[in-house]
Amino acid sequence: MSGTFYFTLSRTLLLVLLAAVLAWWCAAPTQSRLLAPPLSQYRCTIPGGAGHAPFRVYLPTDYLSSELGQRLCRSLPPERYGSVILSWQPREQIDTDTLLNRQFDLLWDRQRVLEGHLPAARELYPLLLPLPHYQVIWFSQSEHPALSAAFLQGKQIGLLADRRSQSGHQWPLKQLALHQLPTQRSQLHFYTNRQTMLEDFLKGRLDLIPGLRLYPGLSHWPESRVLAIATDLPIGDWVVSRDVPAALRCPLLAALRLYEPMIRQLAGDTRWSGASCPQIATPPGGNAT
Amino acid sequence: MNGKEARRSLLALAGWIGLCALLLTGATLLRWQQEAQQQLASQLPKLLSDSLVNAQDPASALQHDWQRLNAEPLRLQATGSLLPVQEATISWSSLGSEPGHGRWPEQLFTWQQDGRNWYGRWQLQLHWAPGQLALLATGLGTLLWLLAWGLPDPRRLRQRDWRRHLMALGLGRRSAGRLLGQIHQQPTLLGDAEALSRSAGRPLDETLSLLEQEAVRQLDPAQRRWLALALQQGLDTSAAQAVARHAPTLSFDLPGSQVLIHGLPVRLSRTPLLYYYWYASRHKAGAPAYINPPSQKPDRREGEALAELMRQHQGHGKAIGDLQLQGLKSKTLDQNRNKIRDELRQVLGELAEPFLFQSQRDPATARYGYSLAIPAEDIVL
Repeated sequence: MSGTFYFTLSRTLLLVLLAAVLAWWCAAPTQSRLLAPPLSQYRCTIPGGAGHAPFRVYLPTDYLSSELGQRLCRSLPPERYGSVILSWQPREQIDTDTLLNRQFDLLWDRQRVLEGHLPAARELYPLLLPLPHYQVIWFSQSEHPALSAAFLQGKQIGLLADRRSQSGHQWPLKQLALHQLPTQRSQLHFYTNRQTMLEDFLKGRLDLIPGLRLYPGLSHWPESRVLAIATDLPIGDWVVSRDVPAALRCPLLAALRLYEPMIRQLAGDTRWSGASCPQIATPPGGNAT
Repeated sequence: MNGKEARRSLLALAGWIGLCALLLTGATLLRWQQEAQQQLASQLPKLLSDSLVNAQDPASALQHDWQRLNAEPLRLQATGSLLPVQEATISWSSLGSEPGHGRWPEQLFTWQQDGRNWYGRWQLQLHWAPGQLALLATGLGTLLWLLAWGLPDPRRLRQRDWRRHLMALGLGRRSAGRLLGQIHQQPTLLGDAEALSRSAGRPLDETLSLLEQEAVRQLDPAQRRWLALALQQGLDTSAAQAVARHAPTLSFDLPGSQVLIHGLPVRLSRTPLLYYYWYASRHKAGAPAYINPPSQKPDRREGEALAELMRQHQGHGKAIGDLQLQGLKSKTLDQNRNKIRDELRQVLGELAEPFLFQSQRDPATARYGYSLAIPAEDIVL
């Protein structure tokens, strides 16, 4: 009897084990893929605009993006647009196809970048608001920074990893290359984020970073510890797709005044373009560039 | 297969399906959790660090990512139309520079960027497809059930042998199945029936159907021996049952030249039968054991009485004559007792013993006296 019992027991256990193995095998999520929503995006809906296409905006940073989105959602006509979608990353998102297909209604980029993707890009994307030029500076922990091998010896240099960044990647590295300054790979620290690079510099972990005066903590950095990289760099311009009705130029300009304080801080006294728009109370003026 | 067996099989099938459903549920939970961990580890760091490029402040950019991920959750999709889960969503309870606190089933996700650690706490929600789960569990359960059926099972193998055995005896498939059902409840039935069939020299199906009866099942082992004996003697099953349940009496049917022991008729030769009767009458009347007379001095008085008894019951003339002429001799007594013993043992075997003689030595004469072993009240004259 007990022999039969153990036989039956072991047989049942074997089958249960087999069941577990089969279940494990059957439950495998085959060829799975992770679907992620676009993260660098702000969306809002235009009240009463349900059913209409979204108004798409591209800008290179998330700075004030949700505020801009909210302004646009309040001011764009619901009979034409249903929502506003702002995208700010990555910069590689802008290419020839994006421009040809007019995937964005409003975008902030540099003319040379747009022209690089599409000759005479302005014909599809007329200028809405030109922005002034600005200055990029090396900030140094030690006095009298110089572009010399002796000065750079052993210095830890912070840079931005974003290859499209004019101020944080392209100009500083181009300048080093121009002066034939050999730097070891271990001296260069690439950051995805400007804020983090700044924090590390202010904590003394970095000796040298490229930057702008407007960064918190750098506005009063002693003149003896800065060195110009470039003085006349374009911030970029706001351009608008040909498809956007001319009547919307004024509401768009009004919304973009959100950036006026930042631009003023960056480029000094700047006149805000808005000549033909009565609601923009700035004195009429030409291009600030 | 009888009804009970079919019910058991169905129950086993349901059990296997249930077990498979449980195992599938558990395996799905574990495997999707694993898959989600792997996918997040391989894809999310890039996704999140992309979102931090040029961000004004990484903490608030992550806060924004967290809101986005909750407004439009990450979806993990698998292909395979039979999967019990084809899509799962991942919800985030936190995302930032602090690991925070969470409890199971929340998982901690960690990644590094710009030399800093970032943390997120997530949880997987599986979107179950109950139809697919049921289908898969049924398929797997049935497969295992069939496997369980196909694997050798000592009990079923034995049952198959029995069925073959029974069918070889001429039983139909149905009645063999019915008997097998009985055998389930009474595991010794077949063995008993076979033993009875062997000892009684009766066909197995007869002994099987007899032993199936509730009344027969309740017989004690001694009664069963009488049943077997009665069957062996050619009695039909109901008469044999009557013998089995009969009181342990000894009664005489002198006209029929037989005794009924435990209700079972046993034929005896005329002269030993009458000697047996004479001993029984003495025992019944409360007389002491009859001490054999000395060999030189036969008992004339008892010889006369016995001759008279024989005359009344058609005894043999020679035996009557001998008794009258020579009296009751110990040698004749011994011969007849031996004859009785032999004839009873031949029919009853060991069961004869209680109905035979017991002896005791008389201290005064140093001769042996004999009487019947059974209690006097069990004798019916």
